[in-house]
Formats: sequence, structure tokens, C-alpha cells
Amino acid sequence: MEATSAAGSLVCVGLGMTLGSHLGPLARSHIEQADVVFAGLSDGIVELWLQRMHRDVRSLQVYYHEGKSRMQTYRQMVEAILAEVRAGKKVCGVFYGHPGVFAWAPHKAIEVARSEGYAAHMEPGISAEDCLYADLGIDPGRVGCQHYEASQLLFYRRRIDPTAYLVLWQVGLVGDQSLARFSTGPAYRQLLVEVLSGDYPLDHEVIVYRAPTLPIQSARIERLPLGGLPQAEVDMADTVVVPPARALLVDREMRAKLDLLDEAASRAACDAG
Amino acid sequence: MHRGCKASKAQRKIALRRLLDGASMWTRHGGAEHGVGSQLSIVEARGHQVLDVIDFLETLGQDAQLRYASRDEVGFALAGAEMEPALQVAILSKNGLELQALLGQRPFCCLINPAKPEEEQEECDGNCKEGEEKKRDEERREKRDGD
Repeated sequence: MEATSAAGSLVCVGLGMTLGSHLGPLARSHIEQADVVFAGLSDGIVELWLQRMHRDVRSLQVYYHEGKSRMQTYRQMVEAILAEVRAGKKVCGVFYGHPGVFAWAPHKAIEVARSEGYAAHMEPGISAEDCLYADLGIDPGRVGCQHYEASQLLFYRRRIDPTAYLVLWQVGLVGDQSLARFSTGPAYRQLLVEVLSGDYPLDHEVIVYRAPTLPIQSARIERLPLGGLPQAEVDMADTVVVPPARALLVDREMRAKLDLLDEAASRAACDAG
Repeated sequence: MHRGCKASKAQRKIALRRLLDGASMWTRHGGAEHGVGSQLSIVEARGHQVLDVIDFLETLGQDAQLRYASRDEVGFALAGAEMEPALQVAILSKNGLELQALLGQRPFCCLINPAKPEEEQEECDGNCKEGEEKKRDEERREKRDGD
């Protein structure tokens, strides 16, 4: 563990997905007690709400530009945050949802701060994933649940388990190799369907999901066949959920081995008794 | 350390809470006898419209009864909220984009995660196409050398 003797500090907290509904008391306290607050949020109205909690809220939106590498954007975010930590300030990075789920900059900022000897940690928040489980009635413990950044299914050879749920993030810009676009299009989603069709029939139902950011909104829950995904309206805030296509396969060999272990354990218990 | 305007915020919240309590009582009793228009005094001189609508949304998001209230219930609460009619219409029609526009906000970019793991993304930083081309050139060279 790194020494934490320097004066500045960093905490990254999650604001949750919906204005007013998800912010926890500890995260709110970190926001109110910080010297400087940086905001990486998904909605300008939510940022106005955050400005009620602190006088010095600095938006990280200014670093985004279509056509500019988002990796550069993310690094600039980290640098902006770290500059205040190095200046000895108590810094709070506030991110929508959970600050550590599908979020590069908060993890990196904490890593760099710690490596330079500053106290830095993360407080969890309610993520889009959490909202999705509630709104769609999915329990990831039932048959399992896989999560992938959608482009990874195109860039790499991944193994999908069609007996579990599959959740795909950032489908609206699937296949963007430049990291400079805010959306791709039907031809790119068609390639995603091509990959998925190796494990799922084209008429398999998928769900386009979006958690509400304002309490006047409802979640977007749109069911459609997998083959219809390229033509569907899918933007950067949407997530695609693919329910299981097959039943769990019984592993008879492993069950037989477990039976042997159980028998041995029960014999040992009898002998001891 | 930030202390904020805690007293005025608390007062605003109490006023709004009273208003919204009035709305739920009104709907429970099915009449307007608990009119609450005069109970609300949350508009401030500085940035008053924003203060008003943000408080309203925060309360809506935090209240178990109001989070999923009917259009009529929300409409009743809005009636005494001294909010611009256009903002009220956007709230009642659940039009987040319109509300953003009325409050001077543009849609935000919500992407904070690269698609490739960091090790590989480093190669593409700032100029991904060039990075990919370099990689392809190297692969071609390696293939040539191997032949």
C-alpha cells in the first residue's frame, strides 16, 4: 500500500442514475465536504442538481468533442482532477451511476493519486446495471449474467454462454475503432448481430434498456428480435439485454464425482458417530 | 469546506413538502379543499426558475408516493409551484429533452469507458487510425521477414 502523507485527497462517488432517487448519504456528505467537485454526469439537469450541493462544481463535459479521441478526453479528466489533488485540495469526483462500473477515468484518477502518495478511494453508487435488474426482473444469480462492452465482441474473440443472460453496453457506438464517434450505425450493429447469431437465432428476443435520469421519466424497455437490432434506434445511453437461449446443461460426470464425495463424507460422519 | 445556503434550502424543502403533502391529501380526499397555492414560497430572486424546478425534481425523485404518481397528482403539485408554464408542460409530458432545452442544457455525452483494454488502447491514443496502420505495417513486415 502506498504512503498517504500528502495533503490533497480524492474520493470518487456515484450519484446513481435518477435525480433525487439514488444518491446515498455518504456520497452526499463527501460532495458537501469537498473543496472542489468534478462532475462526470449523463444529464445537464442532474448537473444543476449537483450544483445545489456544492458551490464549486466543475463539469467534465467540456473535454468531450466529437472527432476527438475519447481516450484523450478521459486522460484530460484525470489530469484536471489530479491537478487539484496535487494543489492540496480535498477533491470529490462525482460520476453518474457507479463511479467504477464501465468508467475508466475514476479508476485511473484513484490509481494515479495513490501512486503519488495521496489518499484516494471510491464509494459505490447505483449503476444502470442495478436499475436493469430491478426494471427487467432479472436476478443474475439464477442462471448467471455476462457483461461485455459491445465492441469487444467485434474486436476480440469472446466466448458467449447462451445459457446465461448477456448484457451489452455501449451498443450505440459498437465497432467504433477511432474512439472519436458518439454513435456508429446499422451496418456496425449488423456485424454485432452476425457475431451473436453464432449463439442465438435471429428471432430470439432481445431488450433495449435505458435507465431514467430524471424522475419524470420511465425506463426504456423495448423488446425486439435480434435480427431487428440494426434497424432499432440505439444511442450511447442504451444497453442491450439478451436473455438465455438455452437451458442449463447438466454435468453428469461432475455430479457423479460430487455424489462420491458426499457418500465418503457421510460414511466418515457415521464412523465418527 | 462548502456550507451552502442550508437554511434557505431547508425552508424551500419544507414548503415543497407541504405542497406535495397537500397534493396527496387532495387526491386522497378527491377534492380541492386542501388548496395549497399559498403555502409555497420557494422562488428566489437569484436563478429562481432553476431553483424551483430542480427542487421539484429532487422531491419527486425522493418521494415514494410521488416518484410514480399519476399525471393528475404531479399536475396538482405543479399548480402551486410558481413554475413557468413551459416547464410545467415539459414535466407533465415527461419530456426530458424539452426540459433540458428550457433550462439551457444540451444533451450530455455519457461515455466514460474505452472499448479496448488500456494496454491496447495506448497504441491508438489520439490517432487510432495511425496506430492501427502502424500495427498492420508491423504485421506485414513480420510476415515478409518470416517468408
